[in-house]
Amino acid sequence: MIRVQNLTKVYGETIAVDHVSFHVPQGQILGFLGPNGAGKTTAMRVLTGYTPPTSGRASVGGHDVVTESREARRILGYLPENAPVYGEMTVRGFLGFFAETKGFGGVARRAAVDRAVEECGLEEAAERLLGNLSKGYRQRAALAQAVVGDPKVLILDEPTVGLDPKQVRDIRSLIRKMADRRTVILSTHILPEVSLTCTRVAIIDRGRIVASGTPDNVQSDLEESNQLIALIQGPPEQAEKALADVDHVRAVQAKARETPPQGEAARESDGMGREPAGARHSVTREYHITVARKHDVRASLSRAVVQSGLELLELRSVGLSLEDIFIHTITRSDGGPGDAQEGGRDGP
Amino acid sequence: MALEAEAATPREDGRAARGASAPLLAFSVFRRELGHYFKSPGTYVALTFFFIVSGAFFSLIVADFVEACAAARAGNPRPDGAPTLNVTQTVVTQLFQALNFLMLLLVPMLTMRLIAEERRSGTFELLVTSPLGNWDILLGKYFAALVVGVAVLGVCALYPLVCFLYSEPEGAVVLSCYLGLFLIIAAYTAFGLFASALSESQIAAAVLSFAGLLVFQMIGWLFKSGRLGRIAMELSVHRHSDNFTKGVIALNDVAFFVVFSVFFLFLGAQILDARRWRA
Repeated sequence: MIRVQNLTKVYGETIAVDHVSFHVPQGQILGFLGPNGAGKTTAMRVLTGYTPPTSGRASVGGHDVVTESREARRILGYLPENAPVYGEMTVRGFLGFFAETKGFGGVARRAAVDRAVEECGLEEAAERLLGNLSKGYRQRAALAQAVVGDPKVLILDEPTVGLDPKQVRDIRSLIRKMADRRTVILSTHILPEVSLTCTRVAIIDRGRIVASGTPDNVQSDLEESNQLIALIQGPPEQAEKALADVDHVRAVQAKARETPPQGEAARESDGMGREPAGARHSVTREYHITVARKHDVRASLSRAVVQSGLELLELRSVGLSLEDIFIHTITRSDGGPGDAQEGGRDGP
Repeated sequence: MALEAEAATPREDGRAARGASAPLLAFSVFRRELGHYFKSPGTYVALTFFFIVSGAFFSLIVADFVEACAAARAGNPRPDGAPTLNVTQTVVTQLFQALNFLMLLLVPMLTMRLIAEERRSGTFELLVTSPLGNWDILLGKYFAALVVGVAVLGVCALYPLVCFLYSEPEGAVVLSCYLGLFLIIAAYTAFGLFASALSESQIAAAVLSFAGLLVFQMIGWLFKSGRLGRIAMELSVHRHSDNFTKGVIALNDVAFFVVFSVFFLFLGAQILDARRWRA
């Protein structure tokens, strides 16, 4: 539905988008994830025909955005950054105007407006002036503007920016609902948004796509190591040694703060606040264990702990969050301190 | 012409189902823009200013004329007033010269926000990425501003009407004045729209169109002699509008204003195109 090949956009001396290629099949929601100024907005502006590419091609629904700009724009709804609206118009008037630009007149126009109002939950505000509406409603109205006339493709530039948490949730579920029948590209610099709303994600930084795929794939592809957390009762030195000896374990780090076992420890230490005798043996600590990628060591780990006479109270694996990956990917493409990471793979 | 060419496209391409009631795209822009004029306090401020000042001009002109008449009747005509006792030549001509000058202030006030404001608020991005073409946007906005200008002309009809009530000015001259004023408004509006496309700042657009139009008014006085002087005379809005106030409708004057309007609309379209490529 949306196809982009080797798209490059240069402003003066800055390269905003640098040889970007991607393809969004019908019915998918692609999330552009990237820090501010990464080139998300520029890429979207090229797709919407607002600005032409310096080189490369882009097409929406088979229409080239440069040579068949109008045809492409006719099947596309666009929510620009900051959701601009005409403050002096009513929601209905505003939507009606954009329905007209998409070729709806008379009865069809009315029906298109009604549908967009309903879809975006704007019934209460439909007759009010946009200038008097709250930010959340204005955002919805701008979204309704993109949706009016039922375009096949939606391009949404930071649809949830500047909203309160409840409004953010509403808009997200709106977007998910809309995606049933449409192909959507949305951009964001808020990470949970991607895993919550998108079927595919492209991490974009300095005009380049540094990672793409389904949110899960991107996550597992980019994980260089697994992290395990073990809660072990017993002398710390012994525990650390036992853990470090297990195959594929790269690093072990004891959490500084002691977590007393419930009940017993609480009773023992409530006297003078001094550490009671014998507590050294039953000391419980959390250990963060870094394991080489794609090795499951949980079984050998638990065996090792038990065999050294320690108590394994808990063992869980923590995947890197999308946030970690995001920061990591971006700092790596930075050529900055991220490069020094042990075991770091070369660029994607 | 461009209006039809642009608006015809959506009907051709498989949108036939909606075709029966498909709106003219430029007309949608026009309606929205006209609505904005009605709702915007700026319009009323500008119009109030205009009618106060033009009303003041008119009463001064009439008072002067009445005084001259009274003096003549008493047998001592004023030494300065040579042709003064003709109501058409004094009141009507002077009135329209004053209105012509006031348009220099009014039109930039009306046109300054047309594109500049949309660019500043970001709604311009909505317009440009909708299926509208540059000419739809431009012509829609142009005619909306022009309609406001024509409405102003309509209210200005009060002044000659007063003349007709108390005297007998030549109707043909009044009509010729009106035609001239309309052409001036059309030309100024095109220039103001062009200036508004140049900047994101409404104030800059207003100042630019006022200064630009002032140059076109005064260009005849700036260069008086030689080849430059002849060119300047041809470009002078003042010279081309002067004939209308005397009741002379010359083809080259009409052509001047039409060409002037089309030229700046065209330039405006070029700027919108250039913005697309640079933005």
